[in-house]
Amino acid sequence: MADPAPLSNRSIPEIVPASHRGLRVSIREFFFAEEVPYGLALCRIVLPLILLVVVLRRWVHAREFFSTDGGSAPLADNYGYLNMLPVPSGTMAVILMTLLVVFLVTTSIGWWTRFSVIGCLVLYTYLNMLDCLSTFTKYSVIASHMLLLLSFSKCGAVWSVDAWLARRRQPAQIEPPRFPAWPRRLMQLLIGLVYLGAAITKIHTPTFFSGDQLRFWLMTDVNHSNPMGEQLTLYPVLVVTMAYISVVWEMLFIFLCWRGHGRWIMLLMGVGFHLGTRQTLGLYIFPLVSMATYLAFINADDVSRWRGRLARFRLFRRENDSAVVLLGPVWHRRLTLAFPATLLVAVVLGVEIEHRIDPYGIRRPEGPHELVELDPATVEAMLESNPMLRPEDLVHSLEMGEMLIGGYVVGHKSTFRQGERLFAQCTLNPPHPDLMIECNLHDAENRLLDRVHQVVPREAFRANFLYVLHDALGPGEYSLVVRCGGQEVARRRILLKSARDSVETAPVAN
Amino acid sequence: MGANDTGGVAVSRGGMAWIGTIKRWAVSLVIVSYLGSLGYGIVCHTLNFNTASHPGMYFVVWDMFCGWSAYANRLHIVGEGEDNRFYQLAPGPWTDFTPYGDLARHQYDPFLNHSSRLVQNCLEHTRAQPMRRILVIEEYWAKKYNLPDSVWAHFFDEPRKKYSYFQLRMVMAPCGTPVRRFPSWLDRQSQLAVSARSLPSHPDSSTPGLSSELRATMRPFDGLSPGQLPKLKASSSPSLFPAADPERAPLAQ
Repeated sequence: MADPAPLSNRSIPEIVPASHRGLRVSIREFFFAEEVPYGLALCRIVLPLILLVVVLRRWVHAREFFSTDGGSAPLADNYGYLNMLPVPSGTMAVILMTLLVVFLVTTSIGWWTRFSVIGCLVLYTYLNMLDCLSTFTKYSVIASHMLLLLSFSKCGAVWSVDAWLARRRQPAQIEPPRFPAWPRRLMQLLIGLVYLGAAITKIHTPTFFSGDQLRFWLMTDVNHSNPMGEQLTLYPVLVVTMAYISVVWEMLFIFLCWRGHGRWIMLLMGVGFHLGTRQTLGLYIFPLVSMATYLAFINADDVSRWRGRLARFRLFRRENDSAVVLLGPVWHRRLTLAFPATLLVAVVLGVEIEHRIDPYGIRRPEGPHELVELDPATVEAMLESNPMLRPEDLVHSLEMGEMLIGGYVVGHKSTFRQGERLFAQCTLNPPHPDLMIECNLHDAENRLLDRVHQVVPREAFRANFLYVLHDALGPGEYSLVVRCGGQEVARRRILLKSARDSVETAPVAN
Repeated sequence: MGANDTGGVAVSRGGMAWIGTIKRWAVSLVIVSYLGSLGYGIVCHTLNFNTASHPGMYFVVWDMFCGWSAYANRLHIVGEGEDNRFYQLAPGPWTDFTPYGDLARHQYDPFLNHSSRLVQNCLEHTRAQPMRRILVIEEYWAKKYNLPDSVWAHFFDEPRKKYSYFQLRMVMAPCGTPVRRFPSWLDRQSQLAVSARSLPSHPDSSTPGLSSELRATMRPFDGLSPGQLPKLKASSSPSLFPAADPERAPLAQ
């Protein structure tokens, strides 16, 4: 499947005048300059492999998720469009899911590429829209867009079975075919606009830039485990910084991603961003699908450069044109028939295997499953109404540190010296009513030494308290006690050590 | 002969050029349509206009970060059988599939648009006892209890004591038809936070002051086969479950 040396994406002389290029000519060159579709070929190879991970996990549940014999959850219902798409029967859902698996494989290897890509587009989008609970997400939408654009393109012209067969039909054709760049351009614009939309969402989101919402997102476990995200909640200043950087990057991407250093900086930042969401938010597939669109930014010059580098290490050898073995017409006819035969065999096998798997367990010797019985005490606990929030659940955290940056306490510590300043920050869980929060200083015998209170309005997330630990407080153990609604809700121990240097006299609290 | 040949080639070239022009226009139309639809989604999203007007808008509106609350939540779909036992109706007993992490499929239905179908599917494919009623109960707890011990120790000296709040979200008939929906616990807390007057109490079977209207519909489906309409004036029962009345759930969220 090796192709001859790639050609640069040079514009066509008859399309682009030598000088005085106007906007119209520039746009025409942008969309219609002919090129070898290496970038799209890479998208065609990689995207189906990612989607296979998703689809294969759901194949055995096709009857349950996508059919009238299950609990389908059409997306259109959420918008009030009931019965917008027909829901197939159980067996038909298995057939469609099986065909989708085959089409994803044939798309990736580039066999009957155009037909396979269109099959993927139709089946993937249709089946996804039947299950908005466990299949359809925003990465599905991006994947559907990519499949749509790939279906317009000649992404199977290189690095594919189709290209391999074509060379065995016409060995004299040395140069790889060239096509207008517009599908690749649209894919580049797609991901740029996705990022722009995501930036707009963040701008719309209240308290995104304060980092509060991001912190709560980092400790959300609706996705895969994200231990790094949970640790990151300890560093809110870093979270806020990353929030600003991500929005700036998302807005700049569509403007800077086209050429030169801007392209590599934007793409590398994107890779870092998406890998970061993998580690901090527990997202697995979304980063992979998003990064697959980056392959559309690879052009023939990049491929040529990389081939040159690989050739130095003898890792890549061009196919000798004289060594190309022609396939006889008989083989071409057989291969033409092999594709529909593969589909047919896969469908029959798929239906049979699914029948034997018996996903509902209806044909088990012991019969259908019995319902899982719940402990009555557990159910009774669920039915106990508890409409009022406990005061301790209004408080998210009590942090102590040596300074405030960006509204957050940094330099976390619980051991201070006389003369140092102690910033205590009580973070609240929204929604909460207007609150009176006390942050009191107690000694080792729990005697109240100082009482400081603060009104926290309903729209505020944090209450900050400053204590100057002057030498009137002897070395020893103390406690900061937060009270809310007349009840103690949090307590932190402090160890106060003697001062190394003399400190100025200061009020105990302010 | 030669003139004819030349004419034929000219006609052929003209035809090819014409096809090429048509093709270029068609491609231009595709480009404009595609970018136009993406641009429309961006504009609608920016101006918060028509973003939920059609399922197609999901394909052009990129609202991947919609904000996250300070509370984690889970949905429990519980059926009360005629044998006075309680059964888990989601996830079904045949599956342990988790689509995106550790959570079962029904947990990704925050508006309960599809709970009814999930319940019906579970009842159809199991040896289920006849049900008296089916309840969707949501559980909430502060996300701080999700934090690992190492992070918790930075915030609190006390050991964690996770506490969950439960609230009824939906009551379904034995056949799975929704008959009553209630606002979520979090929405109610938001209202409580700003409400100057006390809000009407939430239905609670253990509340002595349960309204007579709800008390009268405590067991509306007793003795009825699936699909039959309940009598409004059915007698009360000692059921643990809160009321179910035949009021249909609103379609819009």
